[in-house]
Amino acid sequence: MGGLIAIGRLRVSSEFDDEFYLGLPKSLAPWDAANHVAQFLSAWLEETLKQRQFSVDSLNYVINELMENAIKYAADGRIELAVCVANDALLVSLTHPLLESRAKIYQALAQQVFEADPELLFAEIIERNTDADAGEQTGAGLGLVSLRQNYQAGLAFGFQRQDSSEIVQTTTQVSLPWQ
Amino acid sequence: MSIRTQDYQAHIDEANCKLILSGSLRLNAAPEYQPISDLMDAACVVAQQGSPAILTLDLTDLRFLNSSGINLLYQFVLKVKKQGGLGLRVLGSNSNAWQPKSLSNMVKFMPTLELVMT
Repeated sequence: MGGLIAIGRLRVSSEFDDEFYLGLPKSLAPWDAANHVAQFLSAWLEETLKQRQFSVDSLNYVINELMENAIKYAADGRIELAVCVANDALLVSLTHPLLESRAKIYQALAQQVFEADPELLFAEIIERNTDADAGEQTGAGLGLVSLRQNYQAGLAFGFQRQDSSEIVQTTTQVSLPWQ
Repeated sequence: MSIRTQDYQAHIDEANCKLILSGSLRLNAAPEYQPISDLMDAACVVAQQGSPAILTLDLTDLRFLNSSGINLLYQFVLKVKKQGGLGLRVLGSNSNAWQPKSLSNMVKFMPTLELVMT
């Protein structure tokens, strides 16, 4: 097993009061799964976490964006979604396999989203997409930067390379501060 | 001219030079958004015949828009700005959580754009 490359502070189970897991194989995740999972978990957590203050719409958007990215880009394997209750925030953590070539692109994007001024990066991505053909345009970078810009979300990323394979286990963590 | 699906509707109100998007838009990237982009272009042609030439983009009942859809909106704003000769008014609702967050930046991309949030 290769080492873990982290961008930002990846949080671990011991930091959470509760965790809710959902796992599904990529082969059973058509495009609509993003919507269904986001709607279901948002509505269910609204009921389950009544004592906490959070935006259900924000949670819906976060889960949908992460699931859409996973459905688009994940290699064959398991998509694991966790919603975690921490003292300061509600976390959504998505882990899935990526081919190494795709993981390199995502790691560079993650680094950029993590470090850049979100307002400037949002404008840069919009301008970049203006120059691209429709088929090359993507909401991936825009989705991540919009989480920082519009939802005050914290982001962290993990890339776990596996020896003797071209697969990188990739984790994206989004934290939504309690309101 | 309109597109109607179970999840969303897109409709040109020619009499009022208005393009109305409603429902929940979660399509997969720019190619799937192309029919809506084409409808937006058609709405521009309609609005350019008005006096004054102003297109109203009514998003009041658009409950959800993913990031690919946000990209579509901003690409449209940039296109209208670049082409010139057409004003743009965007109607939004504060009751749709994504809208105050995601629409407010449009004015930075097109300073003459009128954003009306209710």
